[in-house]
Amino acid sequence: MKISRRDLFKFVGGSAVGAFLTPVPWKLIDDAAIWSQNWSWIPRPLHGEIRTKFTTCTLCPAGCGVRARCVGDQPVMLTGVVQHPVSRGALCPVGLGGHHLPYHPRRAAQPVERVQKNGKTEFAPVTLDAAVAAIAAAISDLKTGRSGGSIAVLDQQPGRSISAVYRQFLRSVPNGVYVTTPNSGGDTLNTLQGMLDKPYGPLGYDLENTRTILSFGAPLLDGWGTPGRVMEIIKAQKSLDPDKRLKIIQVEARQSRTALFADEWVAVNPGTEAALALGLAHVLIHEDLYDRDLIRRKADDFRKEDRRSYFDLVERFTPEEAAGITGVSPDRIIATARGLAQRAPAIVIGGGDPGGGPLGKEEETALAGLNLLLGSVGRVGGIVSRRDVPDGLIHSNSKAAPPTEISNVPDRSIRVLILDAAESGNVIPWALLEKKLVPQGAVVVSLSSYLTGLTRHAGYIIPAPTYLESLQDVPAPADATTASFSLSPPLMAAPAGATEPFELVRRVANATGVPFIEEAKAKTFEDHLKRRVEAIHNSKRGHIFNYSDGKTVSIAEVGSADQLWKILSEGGCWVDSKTEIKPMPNFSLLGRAQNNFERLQVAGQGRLSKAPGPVAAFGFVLMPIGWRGATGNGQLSPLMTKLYQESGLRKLSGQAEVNPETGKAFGLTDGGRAWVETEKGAMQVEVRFDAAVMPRVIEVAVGPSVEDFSTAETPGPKNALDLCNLDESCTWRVTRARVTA
Amino acid sequence: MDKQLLIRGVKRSPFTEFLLWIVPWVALFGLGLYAGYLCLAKGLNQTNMDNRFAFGLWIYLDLTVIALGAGAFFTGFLLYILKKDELKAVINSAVVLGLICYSGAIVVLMVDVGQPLRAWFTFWHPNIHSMLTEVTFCITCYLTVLLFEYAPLVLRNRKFRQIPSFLVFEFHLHKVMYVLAGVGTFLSFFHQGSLGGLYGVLRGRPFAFREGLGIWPSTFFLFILSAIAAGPSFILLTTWLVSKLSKKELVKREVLSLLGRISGILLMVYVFFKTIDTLVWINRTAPASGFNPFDFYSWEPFGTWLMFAEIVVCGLLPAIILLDKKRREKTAWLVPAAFLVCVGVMLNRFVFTIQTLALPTLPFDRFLSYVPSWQETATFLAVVAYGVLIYSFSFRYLPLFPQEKELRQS
Amino acid sequence: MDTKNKKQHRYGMVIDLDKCTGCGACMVACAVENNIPPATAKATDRTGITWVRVYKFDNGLPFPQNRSAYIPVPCQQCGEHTPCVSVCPQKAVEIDAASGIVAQIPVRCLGCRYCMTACPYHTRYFNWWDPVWPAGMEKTLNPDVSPRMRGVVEKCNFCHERLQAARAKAAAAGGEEIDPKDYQPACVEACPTGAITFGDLADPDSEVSRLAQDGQAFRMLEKLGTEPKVYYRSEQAWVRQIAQREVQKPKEKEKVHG
Ligand SMILES: Nc1nc2c(c(=O)[nH]1)N[C@H]1C(S)=C(S)[C@@H](COP(=O)(O)OP(=O)(O)OC[C@H]3O[C@@H](n4cnc5c(=O)[nH]c(N)nc54)[C@H](O)[C@@H]3O)O[C@H]1N2
Ligand SMILES: Nc1nc2c(c(=O)[nH]1)N[C@H]1C(S)=C(S)[C@@H](COP(=O)(O)OP(=O)(O)OC[C@H]3O[C@@H](n4cnc5c(=O)[nH]c(N)nc54)[C@H](O)[C@@H]3O)O[C@H]1N2
Ligand code: SF4
Ligand code: SF4
Ligand code: SF4
Ligand code: SF4
Ligand code: SF4
Ligand SMILES: [Mo]
Repeated sequence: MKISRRDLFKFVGGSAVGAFLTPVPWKLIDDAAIWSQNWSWIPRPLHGEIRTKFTTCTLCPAGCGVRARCVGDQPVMLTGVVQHPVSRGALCPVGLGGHHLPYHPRRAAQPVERVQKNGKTEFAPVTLDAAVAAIAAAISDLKTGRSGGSIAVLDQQPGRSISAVYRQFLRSVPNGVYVTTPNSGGDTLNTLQGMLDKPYGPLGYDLENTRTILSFGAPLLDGWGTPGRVMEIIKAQKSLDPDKRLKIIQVEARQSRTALFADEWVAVNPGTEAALALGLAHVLIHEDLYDRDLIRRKADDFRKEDRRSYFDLVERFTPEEAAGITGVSPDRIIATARGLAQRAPAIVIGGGDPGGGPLGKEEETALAGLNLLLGSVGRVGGIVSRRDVPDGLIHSNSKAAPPTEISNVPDRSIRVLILDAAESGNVIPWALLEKKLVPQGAVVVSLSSYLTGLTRHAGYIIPAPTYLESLQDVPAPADATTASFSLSPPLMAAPAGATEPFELVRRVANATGVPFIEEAKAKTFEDHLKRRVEAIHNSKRGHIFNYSDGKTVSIAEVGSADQLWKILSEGGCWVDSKTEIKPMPNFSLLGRAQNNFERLQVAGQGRLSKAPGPVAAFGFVLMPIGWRGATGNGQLSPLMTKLYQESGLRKLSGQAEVNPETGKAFGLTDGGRAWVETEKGAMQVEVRFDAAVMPRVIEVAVGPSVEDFSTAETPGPKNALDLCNLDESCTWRVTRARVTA
Repeated sequence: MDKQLLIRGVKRSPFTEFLLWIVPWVALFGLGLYAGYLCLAKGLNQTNMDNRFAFGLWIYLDLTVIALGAGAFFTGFLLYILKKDELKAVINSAVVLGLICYSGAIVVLMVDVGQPLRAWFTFWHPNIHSMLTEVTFCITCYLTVLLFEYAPLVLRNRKFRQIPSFLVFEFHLHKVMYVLAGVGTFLSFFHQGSLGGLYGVLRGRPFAFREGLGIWPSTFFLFILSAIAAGPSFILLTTWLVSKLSKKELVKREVLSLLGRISGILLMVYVFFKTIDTLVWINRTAPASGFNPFDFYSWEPFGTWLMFAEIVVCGLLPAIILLDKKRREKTAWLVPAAFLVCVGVMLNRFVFTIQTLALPTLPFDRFLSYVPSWQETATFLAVVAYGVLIYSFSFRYLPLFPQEKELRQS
Repeated sequence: MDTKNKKQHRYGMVIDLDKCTGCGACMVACAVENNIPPATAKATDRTGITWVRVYKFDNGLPFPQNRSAYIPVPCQQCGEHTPCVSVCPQKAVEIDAASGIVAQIPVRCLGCRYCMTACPYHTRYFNWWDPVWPAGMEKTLNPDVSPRMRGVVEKCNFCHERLQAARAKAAAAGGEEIDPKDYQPACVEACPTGAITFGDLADPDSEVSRLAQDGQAFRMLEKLGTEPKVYYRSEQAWVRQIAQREVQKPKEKEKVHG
């Protein structure tokens, strides 16, 4: 038959209509829908057996217990270990994102070398041997006297087993210096140590039993010490009856989170903490609010003939005098001093802002003196000594280089500087380290896994395995009243290119022919750690807390060192048994150094009194600010963008705040940009007006920067620290600045 | 080819001149297409909209062009339902304008949503409580109606007339035109309303929220009123503009006056109700939701002047002019008045789409600003260009103005 | 899962503003729990995604009388005329009868963002970019929540997946009702100061109901009548007044900036 064009149309039309009566088009539509809901490039989460593992956070010295939810071997969520004897359950935001760090965009997974490629600084891969050879060469030069200088290791978490390895190594090389940094948890305590005439054991704050805390800028409620411990104390307050409750007085130039939540906020002029401390001492002495008898018995410089005694120093700082310097009214100074005496026991804590840097030796001396004057040392609810963690590693300083605070290291003296990867949580300006390096041919090696912060300045980066990738140990945090020890067992494999610091030191030692004294006893870092655990077990002291079941058993019940090791390496924390407080030794209220009288006298006038720059031209005070653990060092989960970039809850590097009145007066605009200029240089900042900021002060955040969260190779933008004035006691917290729109 | 397509009996500019006219618009249109492509390919991060300014220039455009496009259905309604035969003179032009406005709006909407491929889920599992569902349904349906209304116009082009079956089809379409007009009117009243409802229902945005009459907030009815008041003015304005540009008389003068008069009457009614609505809002609605209505106007630059400009300068004033017979007869009054009416409706849509989002609701929140990105602006301008092009071609090749021929002979 | 013949719950929160130090742990914990990607380099506080956002506000007084408070704002889980539910054209937002939780079903969302203009609390977030995790970091995603794609809206859902898990656990144990201890959202768990109390408002004996009743508890923009299930409380009058919008105009007249 012959099919006409018309028939064809009919057929096509007919079938089209017919098709609508079949499921076909609907199926197609639905498939289209489902297709439109699935994009191949959207990652799918791993699926697999859900396991719970335990470890300990090493991202700052607090050493919080960590419960890790894992899919197979991959941690997908970290939470705190409730009832943990040290960290009391809470993880801070830094720790919450710890499992992202192995995948940090700025991670260095193998050794790299800093090279100049057509004017630009880049990091080029280098073999471990080559890197080690470079270090060895530098060291040999020192041995042969071909060049001067010292070999230093910067350790921001002293007291770990790896610290012992460093110290022993440094003892066996020529001019080895073991360098530590200020850390907000322990500054006042370290200073106090130096004022006692006999070793008194490591010190800690008995926060649980104190009634008053007078904090000079320590971020008590924002990451200080062991955050979980502090939060537990705060939470417990409501249930206590009023006169037992803890009273927190925050002395700080800025409205920090701690200042906000303190019972009292004393807003002092920037850099005048010493004056206030001495003013308070003045009132205590003149109103006879101190323990005359104790001071007479124990203090050797309260009163002296030469008129350079503590008494003579304090004498000058009448409430009126102090008020003039600090901007705090005489009445308030008097009231505060009386309060300290009435609400005893009282603890005075220094430290300062994690970005703003240490208060300074003189200030800390004044604060330590205040503690001694108040009789707060060596009493319940005061500053007490704890026993050391039993330690099978360092038997005496004869075998280990003693700790040297960075500010005590002579300038232009370090030839080889090795930066350990561990963080104190507080910032260290590169300028501070640079100052200590020999002008020519210094070799800086970083063991950090991240191309950020100080590491950007290193010549060689020999990345150690990062948190969760390697076995570490965690000693008691600086503020603790009892010794404690836990392990941070790895939850995942380290990249092939990562080098254990233990292994690195061994190689360097071998390459330079110095004895690696652990060699005989410890083949591996694990052996090394086991010796410490053994020592703990042998001491028969204390209890062990088990992360998984929350139970605590006495060491006596733990059959063997191996058994103790097993518990610790599956998540456990050893805590020393309580001991009664040791009678405290004699002390000097001004510290041992001869010129302390003069230095405190000067410091008492305020840090800005001798700061460079005419007041007229430099109408602002630049205060760098930072948040513990997040001062731009790179150990930050990319999810921290939620706090910085995506909400402004925390400030990114280069974001500044000024008082609205000041801002308007200087022609700045809220949300606009401005230039901050100091003797050291200038940078552009993004200004926000905030009535919380002291007039004529500009607070500039030190970090992190957006680059710290991304793969962008550009070294971060200029940092506020580059503008700060580093004075001789290595503080940089206040600098005169000019601010223009 | 151009020659054969031209309409008989009227004069059109030489083809080269016509080309010179359209080329820049084509260029602008092209740029807009590229911008639109960027937004679809790279995502809406190409715009300056954000979580707080979730709606921007494009939604403003949609609401505005659809309000102005109301001229189409309303003229149809007056002509076919209320038998105002004078309006035959502009109905074709009105239909073209309507088609441009509605198709433009829908295309922009497709760029505006984050997942255009899922846009049709709205038909699949619609949420009948959502004003947006109402809008989507009505607009798509009405666009179809407009196509049917536009078709006979196209078919009246002399080339097509040579095809007999087309003639037949056009003849049949003509018979159902009344039905189409009816359906169109119903749908349009509805979605003009829903567009108002879109904002009126936002109880979370006390600046836009209005109390309801029946299931609809007052804005539902106010948007209808303002749209049908502005529609005729827009037709008037465009007709006047086209005849200026083409230097031809297109419609009899009294047609323009009639459009003006209709606009005037409706506008007066609108202003009356808008005023009542505003008073109710100031004295009851806003305070009831915990806001002092004058706080809304305390943020630079959106002061009370905006409200005054919208209701008085662009409402009451032109209404009075258009209702005054003597002034209406003078083009120097008529056209500016019509212009003010259109500005008024644009202002009103601006206030609802942009000012609403700029104002803080949370007590600790700040006033927000928003400046469209070049991609948004280009896409916006592309719609304008698209309109000019469609209209230019229609004007050149289709009999938009039946009276043009006789006006030319006389 | 058929949610009909189940006991009615009204899950809610009471957030104690006197305890919130603005540390941000809740924001990080939420992002970890719900597979929220890190910001792209260009993202800002207006284009970023953080299901709970902690805002800072102050008493408006000059230095040194000036005081600030922090306020975490998750989805308020509005219970009446839920603004975002009624406006969604295609049922991508639903309020679950069994839990009272306002559901976001991203796979249905066309990204029209009408719900965002409707939400008075600005707790809805649009995916302006494709979600991108640094190489390898996608391995750390929570297996219980599907990541969303570019062009859709998402928001806090009270960690619904945790409710699902608790339900599963209860079901496995043959029980009808979940153990409240099994259903605590990530932000609540992470908060170091215990500022957030979570539980069933329908249960008069629950801690959260008790707190929601006390004189110092309130809800934001209560007069809008959206019946949020997130309560706030503070013993400081100025905090309550400002957060409740009793002080009509925030701060002095400000110029535009965003
Ligand atoms: N109306 C409606 N009913 C459904 C479905 C639907 O899509 N719509 N889906 C059916 C299917 S496939 C299933 S598996 C069951 C599941 O049923 P359920 O286990 O009950 O969970 P959902 O159906 O997702 O919604 C109920 C609760 O889920 C939460 N929810 C909804 N969407 C999301 C989401 O995208 N993320 C998270 N975290 N929580 C969400 C809401 O808090 C709500 O309280 O529901 C079925 N029933
Ligand atoms: N964050 C989050 N994401 C989730 C979930 C969650 O709880 N939280 N739930 C997950 C789960 S359990 C599921 S099952 C999915 C559900 O989500 P999907 O099933 O992917 O999306 P739905 O919208 O539920 O339905 C899929 C498509 O089915 C089509 N459809 C709807 N009704 C009909 C119909 O009657 N006939 C036909 N032929 N097609 C129809 C619609 O086009 C719809 O887009 O979402 C998953 N995604
Ligand atoms: S970073 Fe420090 S405080 Fe934070 S969780 Fe880790 S150990 Fe604890
Ligand atoms: S975690 Fe707790 S304290 Fe920290 S911001 Fe969130 S709610 Fe406030
Ligand atoms: S807070 Fe916003 S998103 Fe949450 S339920 Fe209410 S309207 Fe919806
Ligand atoms: S953006 Fe998504 S969820 Fe919001 S209204 Fe549109 S479709 Fe619904
Ligand atoms: S309840 Fe869950 S989803 Fe909501 S904010 Fe808290 S963590 Fe995020
Ligand atoms: Mo499902």
